[in-house]
This record gives sequence, C-alpha cells and structure tokens, in this order.
Amino acid sequence: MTATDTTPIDALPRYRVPLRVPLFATLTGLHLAILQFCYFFTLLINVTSTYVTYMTVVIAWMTGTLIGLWLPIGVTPALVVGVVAYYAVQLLVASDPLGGLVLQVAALGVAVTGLWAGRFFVVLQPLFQRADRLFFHENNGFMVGVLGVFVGFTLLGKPFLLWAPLASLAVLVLFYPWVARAEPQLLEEPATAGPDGLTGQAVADPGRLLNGGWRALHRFGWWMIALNILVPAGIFVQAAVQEVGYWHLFWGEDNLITWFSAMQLLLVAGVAWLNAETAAEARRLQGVEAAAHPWIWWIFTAGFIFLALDEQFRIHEQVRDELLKPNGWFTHLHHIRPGDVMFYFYFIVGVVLAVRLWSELRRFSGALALFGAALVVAGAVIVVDALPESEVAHWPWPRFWSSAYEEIGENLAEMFFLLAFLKVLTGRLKGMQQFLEARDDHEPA
Amino acid sequence: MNQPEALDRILARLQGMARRFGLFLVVVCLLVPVASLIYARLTDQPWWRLFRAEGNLTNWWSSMQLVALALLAWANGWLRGVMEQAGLLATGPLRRAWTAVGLGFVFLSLDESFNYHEWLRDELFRAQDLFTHSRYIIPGDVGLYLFFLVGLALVPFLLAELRDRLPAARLLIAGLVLSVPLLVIDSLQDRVMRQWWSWRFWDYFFEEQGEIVAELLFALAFLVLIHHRLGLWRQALEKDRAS
Repeated sequence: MTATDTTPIDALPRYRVPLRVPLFATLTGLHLAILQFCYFFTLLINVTSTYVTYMTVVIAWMTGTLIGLWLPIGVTPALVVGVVAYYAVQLLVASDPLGGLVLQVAALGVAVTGLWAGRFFVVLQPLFQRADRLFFHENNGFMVGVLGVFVGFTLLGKPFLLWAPLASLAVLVLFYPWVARAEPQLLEEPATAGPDGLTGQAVADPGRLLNGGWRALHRFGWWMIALNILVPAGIFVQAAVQEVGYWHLFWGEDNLITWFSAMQLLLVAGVAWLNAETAAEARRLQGVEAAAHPWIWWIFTAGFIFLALDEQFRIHEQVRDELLKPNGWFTHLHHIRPGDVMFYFYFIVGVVLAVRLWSELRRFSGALALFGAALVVAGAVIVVDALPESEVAHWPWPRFWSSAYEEIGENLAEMFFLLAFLKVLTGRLKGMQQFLEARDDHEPA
Repeated sequence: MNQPEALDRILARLQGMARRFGLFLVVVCLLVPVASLIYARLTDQPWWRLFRAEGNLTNWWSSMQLVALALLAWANGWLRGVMEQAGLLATGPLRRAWTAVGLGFVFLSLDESFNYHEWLRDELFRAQDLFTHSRYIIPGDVGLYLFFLVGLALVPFLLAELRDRLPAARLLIAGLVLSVPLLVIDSLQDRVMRQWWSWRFWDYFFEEQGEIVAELLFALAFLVLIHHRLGLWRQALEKDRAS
C-alpha cells in the first residue's frame, strides 16, 4: 500500500482494522477534548477570563502536540503523564488562585498534556493508512467531548473538572490493551529499535567497551580538574559580588566547598572500588602478575568513605574533644593544638597502606607522581590545620591560611588522589584492551 | 581465552558491579536511619532532632545519593552510546537526554544541601507576592513543585528508555509517586502540619527518609536498566557465537 493523503478515498481499498481501533481513536478524541476544555474552565475560574487564557491553552497545547510528534513516548506513559500534569495544575490553582505565575506554569502543564495529542497520530496513523480517516474518528470523539464538557460543567460544576479527566483516562488505559492485542504493532518500540531494544548485529569486540570506558574516565578526570578550579574561583567571585570577606564563605561546615570536598572523597572511594573490580578482572583475564590483590583497593574504598563522613561530620573533632582532651592525650605537643592529632593519625595509616599500593601505582605512567603530589599537599594542609591559632595569627594573611588554604588544599589533595586512581584505572583498561587485541579471536580458552 | 569469551566475562563483571552497587545503596539507606536513631539514644536526644536540622546524616546522604544518581544517569548514557556504536541499540537523541537527567540530579543534590528552593521562596516569590495566598502551603514555597514539573518533562524520555525492562519502569514510577506526598509535606504550613497525628514523624522522619527511599528507587531503576542492557549484549554475543 503506497497511498498518499492526496489519493481519493474511494480509490483506496477498504482498510481492515477491528472496530476497537477506530473506537480507540474516538475515545482518544473524547479524552483530549475533556482535558483541553477542563484546562480552559479551570484557568478561566482561577486565573483570568480574558482571551489570554484561551490563547495560552491553545498555544501550549499545540506546542505539546508538536513535541509529541517527535518524542518517542509510549501510549500509556503519555496518557498518564498528561493527566498527572492536569492534576498538578489543579493543585497549583487551588493553592494559589490568581497567582502571578500560575498561567505560565499552567501552560507547561497544558503542553505536557498535549504530548499525547501529537504522539497519538504517529502511533495510529499507520493503521488507518491515511490521516483523514484517523482525523475523522478522532474528531467525532472530540466533538462529543466538547459538548460533554459544556453539559457536564453546567450540571455538575467544579466536581466535573476534578473527576472527568480521571474517568476518561481510566477508560482509555483499560481499553488500550484490548486494542493492542488486535494490533500488536501498537506495542512495538516507537523509536527505530526493535523488541528488547536490539536492532543490529552484536559485535563481539571487547575493545569497543574497554576503549569507550577509559576514554570516558579520561574525560571525567578533566571535568574534575575543571571543577576544582571553578568551585573555589566561584566562591571568591561570590564573596566579591556580595561584598563579604571570602573567609566567611570558607569557614563553617555547611558551605559549598565542604560539600564538594565530601562529594569528591566519595568519588575517590568510587574510583578505588572500580580499581578493585578491574584488578580482580585483570587477574582473571591476564594472570596474577597483571594486578595487585584487589583487597588493597577495597581498604582504600572504605578509607575514603570514612574520610567523606569525617569531612561532613567532623569526627576527628569529636574524638579530640570527647576522648583526647579529657584524658590529656596528645595535648602538650609543640606546634599542634591540644589533641588535634587525628589527621596526623589518618595520614600515617594512609602512608602505611600506600606502601601496598606501590606496585599498582608504578605500573602506570603518572600515577605514582600524582599520588606523591596528593600526599605532599595533604601533609602541608594537615600541618597548617593543626597549628595553634596563636601561631598562624602572626603570619601574613592569617585568615587565608585558616580558611581558604585549608579547604582548597584539601580539595587539591583529593583531586590528586582521584587522578592517580583514575590513571591506574584507565591504564589497566588500556592494558586489557591491548592484551585482548593481541590475541587471536578464535584462540581456544 | 578468545575475545568473545573475554567480552562475556567483562559484561558479567559489569552486571555484578551493578548488583553490588544497588545492594550497597539499599544497605546504606537502611543504615542511615538506624544509625541516627541509635545516636539519638546514645546521646539522650529526642529522635526527631536528628532528622530536623539541615546538615544531618540523612540530609547529607540524600545529597550524596543524588550525585550518585547523576553518575548512574551518565553511566546509562555512556552504555547507550557504546551499544549504539556496537549496533546493539538504535541511535537517537536518547543518549543526550541522559545528560540532561544527570544535570538535573546534580542540581537537586545542590538544592538538597543549600536549599535553593527556599532562596527562591524568600527572594523571588515572597518578594513579588507570588503564590503567597494559599491556606495550606507556606507562602511562596512552590520551588520544589516547579522543579518537580520540570522533572516531569523528562519522565516520558525515561519511560521510553525503561520500557525495555518493566521492573525498572515500575521502580521509577514508584519513586515519582512517593515524591508527591514528600513535596506536599515539605511545603505545608506548620499550622496545618501540627494538626496531624504524630506530626513530627511525618514532618521530620517521613519526609527526610522518604526522600532517600525515592532516590533509592530511581537509582535502582537506573541500575536495573544497566543490568538488563548488559544482559541483552551477552545474549546477543551468545547468539553470535552460536552462529
């Protein structure tokens, strides 16, 4: 069948679809009319009765319809989302009638509801072969719906606006599976993909996956470098714009840089976990000599999760105030605030464990240097952080050292750890790719 | 081991990682309220105080979990891209839409920590006298509703992606359904809230914990999709090897 819309309808062979399919089109028209005019009356009552309301509904509806023509959304989701948007608008106008932005927000809801009006034609048009046939059935329902809304609203008032869209949705949702059974193509993926989303020949090349993996991680590393520059820079700009001392924005626990630091520590933990998994896989694929035992990466994963918690909840300060100070432990050390030794403790534990990472880090170019940079920056931050305030007060720009330096330094150290771990991860993925490429595809296991 | 066997192993490993990460999120979401309640008991504080103030453990984990959701969206987009290149999925705009989903969750994570919706309420809506005359909603406190409506615009895309795997779509819808009462409770006036039975439970515990559970449902939906697509790849690989 190659008929076009310009072909006279009597020149076409009779199209054979079960009655339920045109009935579905008619019910859809009814549903769309109910929604459109319920929107209209709702906004008329609650916002304004000028021409603006009608124009807003029409334009927003047409916009949604146009988007719906291109958006590959399923039948049931489109129907449900449209009605959810309608009730969201109902809630909005009920909570804030005559509000200044209600009409604009409502327009968004109308557009969402209009999505199905567009999608409907894409889904059903192939069954009817010609658009005018589909329009005919849909329009019959629409006319009935327009009359129905006027009659229903006149007789029942606001409750009609509240319940009619839900009732027509229920009818359509219950009716649709019956239609889809008659025309299974309605159940197919609206995009070009076939059932289960598979469209083409599977490619048995692991290189694509590994190559895509390490390239994506490489880009991720650059993003993190950019963020580590942008976040502190943004804080300085914010301080300048708001005309407040920059140190106010670095002090305290609920600021952006602390949030970013905790988040970055969790990311380091996540990359350490990915290293644990890839190390285990590399040992299986390439042999024991390809990677250290994954357990060391699991320990670093747990360690960085703990550091993220400490960053947010100041566990080290609680230990200092609740345990070390009351017992007089580490309270008389030179150049260290009384009891403020927990970061030194974390650092020493980290360095001891890092010895076990040595063999991993030196396998991959740059990883060891980045890890070393992280340790140097972290050490410098810990020393300044633990100094008594009386000592820092004599330095030039004392507020810089006690606020911005500490927070930015922490972030830099975390970034270097992250980049070092990413170097290991991307390097190992490249290594696995090269190892597998060097093998014959048909080499027996 | 030849290349198809190696690929099968790598895909199986990735599936295992998706399962383990999902389990990790479930365990943390169970541990967070338990730890908060134990801490309240140990420090002789009323339990609700641990859920009320901003910056508490639940609030922090919620923010971090939203970042994890953004990363899972990114991972889904990446996997879709790789599978498109391999000829296993049809190419289309869906891959880029995952980026929008990821950015949305990053914004929500920042909002969870820094309450941008409250800034909108105070600096925009109240200042302009917008949405300030409701009997039930805190004057101008409609920022989260707006975010939700914007998020709803992405739902059709997500459902189009998740329809390959019905349990994933159900998890997403469950997360959306759970979000609605949380939005309402968050914006209700104290005067209204305090008429409820056991209002502190609803206002503090249910709202904070509900956020975490809704995020968990979204995360599990994304993980189920990743797991499913990796499984499809393995099936296709198996067919390829058999032929």
